[in-house]
Amino acid sequence: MTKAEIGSREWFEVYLDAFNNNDFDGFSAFYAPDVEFYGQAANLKGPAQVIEFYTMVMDRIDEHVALKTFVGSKTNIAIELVTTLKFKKDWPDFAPGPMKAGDHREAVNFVFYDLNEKGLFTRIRSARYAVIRER
Amino acid sequence: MSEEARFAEYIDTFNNRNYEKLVTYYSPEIRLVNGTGRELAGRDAIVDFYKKVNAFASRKIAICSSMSDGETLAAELKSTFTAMANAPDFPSGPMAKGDRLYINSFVFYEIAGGVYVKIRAAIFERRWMRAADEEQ
Repeated sequence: MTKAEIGSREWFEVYLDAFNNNDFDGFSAFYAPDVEFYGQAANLKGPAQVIEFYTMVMDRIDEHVALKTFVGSKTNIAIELVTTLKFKKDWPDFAPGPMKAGDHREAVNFVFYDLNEKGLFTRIRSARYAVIRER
Repeated sequence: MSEEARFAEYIDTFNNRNYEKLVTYYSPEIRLVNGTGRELAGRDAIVDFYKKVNAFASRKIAICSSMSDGETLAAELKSTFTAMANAPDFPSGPMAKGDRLYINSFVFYEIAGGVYVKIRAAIFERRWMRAADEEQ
């Protein structure tokens, strides 16, 4: 996965790089088998559900996350992310509100991660801090 | 004292409504954005705002977790508000006497010179427990 110290910013950026590159194997390698994911658009359990969800999402959206604030340890990580969504297709039942192809949405989210003794994510929880751009 | 220990003292101070001590944790240029997106600039603005909130509701904040790298402290907080009187203009929404509001929030505190200079909160979960429902 990476030789960087678990819970360090460098280590976490490997995870985000995999996510931004749609590297499903790469980012799901950070998930514990019982990972719980509480996102803005879905609550999921287990790596398979997360991958299935993001396979659907990435078919409709180009998503990019940029790391701003990072505080981490071997057991917990807290980050501030700017998430940029570019809609490739209409998504009328998108959880925060209906979106059309060509729409952009940019939001600041605070995301907290719990890690197990192997350095795998057991729980991921996201809270929206602000919406920068809606369309 | 670690930042986490100092933060625990800060939350105790907040819970005890010791405003004179509370402001010593803040830079004069403090900016606080609470979970509803309201921005408060300066120590007086924060104290004035929470004095008004506390006039209508008792608030207890519990720290679920906190960690700091010395420049930023991240905390997960659980706050419980209990309305002591009808509060139609309560910042998170109208409250009737006896209503309780439970908020689980993620907060970043930026630290400089031993004081908080910027505080930003995002709400992960908000749950109302209405007094009228509990009476039924």
